[in-house]
Amino acid sequence: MTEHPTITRRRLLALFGAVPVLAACGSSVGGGSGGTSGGAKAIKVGLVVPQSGVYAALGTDMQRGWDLWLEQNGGKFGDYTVTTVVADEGETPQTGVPAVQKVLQSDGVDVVVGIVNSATALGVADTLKESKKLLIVTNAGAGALTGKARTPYIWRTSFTNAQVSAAMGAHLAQSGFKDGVFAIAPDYAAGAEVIAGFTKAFEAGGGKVVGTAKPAFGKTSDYQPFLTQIQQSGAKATFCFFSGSEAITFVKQYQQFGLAGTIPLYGSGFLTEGSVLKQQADAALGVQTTLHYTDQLDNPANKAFVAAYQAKYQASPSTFSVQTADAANVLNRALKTATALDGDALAAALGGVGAVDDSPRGSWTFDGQTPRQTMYLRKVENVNGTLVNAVVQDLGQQSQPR
Amino acid sequence: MTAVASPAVPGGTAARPPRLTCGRGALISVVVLVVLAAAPLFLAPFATTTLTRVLVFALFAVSLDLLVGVTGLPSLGHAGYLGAGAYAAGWVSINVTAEAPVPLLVGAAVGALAAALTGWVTVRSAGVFFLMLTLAIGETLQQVADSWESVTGGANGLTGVPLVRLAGTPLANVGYTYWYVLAVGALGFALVAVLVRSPWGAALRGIRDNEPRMRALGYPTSLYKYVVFVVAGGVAGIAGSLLVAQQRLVTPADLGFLTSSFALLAVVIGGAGSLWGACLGAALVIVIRDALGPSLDGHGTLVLGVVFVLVVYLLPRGAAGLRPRRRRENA
Repeated sequence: MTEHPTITRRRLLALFGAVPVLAACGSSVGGGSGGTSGGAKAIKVGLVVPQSGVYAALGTDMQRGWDLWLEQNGGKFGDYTVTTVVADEGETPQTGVPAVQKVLQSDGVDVVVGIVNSATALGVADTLKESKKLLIVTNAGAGALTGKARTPYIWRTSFTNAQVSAAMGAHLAQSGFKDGVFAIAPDYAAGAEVIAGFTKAFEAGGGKVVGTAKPAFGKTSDYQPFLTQIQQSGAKATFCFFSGSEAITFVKQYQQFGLAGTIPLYGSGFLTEGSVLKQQADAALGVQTTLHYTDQLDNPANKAFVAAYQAKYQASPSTFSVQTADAANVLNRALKTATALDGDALAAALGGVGAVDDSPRGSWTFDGQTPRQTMYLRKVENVNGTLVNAVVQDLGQQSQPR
Repeated sequence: MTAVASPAVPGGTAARPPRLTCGRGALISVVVLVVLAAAPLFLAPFATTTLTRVLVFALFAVSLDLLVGVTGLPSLGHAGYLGAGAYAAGWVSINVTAEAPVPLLVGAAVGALAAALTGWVTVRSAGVFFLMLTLAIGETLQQVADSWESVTGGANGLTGVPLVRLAGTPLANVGYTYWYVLAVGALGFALVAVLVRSPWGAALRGIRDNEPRMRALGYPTSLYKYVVFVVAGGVAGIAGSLLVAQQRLVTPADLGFLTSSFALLAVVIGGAGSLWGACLGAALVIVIRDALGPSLDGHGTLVLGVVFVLVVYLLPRGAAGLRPRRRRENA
């Protein structure tokens, strides 16, 4: 952590507007021009990640990835000294949007990095456009963000929901499950995108979805009715998307119900990514997922990253750590050619970054402001007493499905 | 600040607004309004944005106070009407027009309509049952917002709401938006304050204190409760339209349980029954959640919880409870 978020007297005063004269131009005369860091080259970054709520674990991984990259690179992007201001995104846009506005307007950052919740990322688009600042999304996977709601000020180093599931759709169609897959995902926007991406790719490969189910998001703790449905559907395999506590519950109940032995479970990678895998324990063994990263990847960049991460945090990195470390990586590359720190200049520079060839996930490029990257088929295996997502197959480079 | 409150001191005492306090009250409310109106001229953009949020939430808390403090109906689903108004105002701004009074009126109408449709069930109950019913209705409305994707945008929320336009000109910066929110918020507050002072408001307080007696006196108490429920829904709808004017985004979280309970927290902090108290409570909640929260390392909600516990123990009647004692000292 680069800045300690204590309540200083100055911050309190600023809150209550006791420093008005400093900003005498005020809001009614036009936007404050934050981030004019003169003199020595410096860049101020607002890292907005969840520190509270259900996504707090993701936030921890993201911040660790960011901190580690900076530590390994002397706290600098090229000639620019980096100052990081961390803010709590919380769970919903109710907390996330104010947090982004705070780092932009109050802390005067040049770039915002982070954001887990897609609604928050979509919700700050106007603010970014008006202040002409860049946001690098390091998780939120809504297709619209770099699709129909695209703005030049939002770039993404993570993934799109449909990209991850489309890879699995194509794979299952080619591996003997053509005549029947059951698809299940929670009833909310991301779940719908995942299922749509999967179905499209699966059907394009000649596959047939024999049934779908949408359990209520965040309110389902007993999946038995859905498991019965899967059993009776005559499916040869199940494709699912869950994350967090729902992923733990679903995978465990799938095994307890006795389906794991008869109808193999496939999923979007978040099903078994990060801290959930430990809690799913043996119930997750054999589950296969697609994702653009696993800490088991055999490439020099990943080996170095995993070793450094484990040495520093006594934990394995997750895809969330890598996505955020890559945000630092691309900013570093962009700043070599950027003419200024505003959103337009940075966006132009990011467009010319080319292949990011030293990323732990393998080489990737920006395609329409979001990664075109290798998707991996992964299988949960027990390696020396630890559950890991072992690489089964390289499914090739893929872009955001259009 | 104190003055606007004089009508709303809880209990029978509320019915005595002495002429003297009244004049002083008017003076103080004018001063408060002038200070609030001048604020964006001196404040940095983020402070203005935060203050705008405070005003929106204050109006919402005031509408809830009409139920909780004045009529004695503790609602846990009031955010449903805020959200209904916000979605309606947002939808109209995107698809029809963002010209000033339109989103506002639509928000108010939809908030009131949603309350009218659900209120006839809730007002027949009281106490814990009312609490549970309103909670259920709030959750249902949130579920609707979550799944009616073609209209609400589902879990990703309703985004891309245009700026409010006044006589054809968009309110293109935070200062103008603030003044718009302040003007409407002040009108909404005045409306509720007038209602609370009226004989109708006195009847509501009567219902709160002893409903069987009011019924025995010949008041159709169910009808009174139904009407106040619809009015509160309408005012919440207005707050919703201001919410969308400010954040230009509505998500299911805006009509969730957490929003309802934060509003209830604001009312309790301020002292149930006191309209200005609810505004102070709202200010405290929003400042902690939105301005301090992001920098507290994830402990924003914890701070709110601690404040709540402290208020319950130290100020059993909320911020409004501080006043009489101070006056006695002065006198």
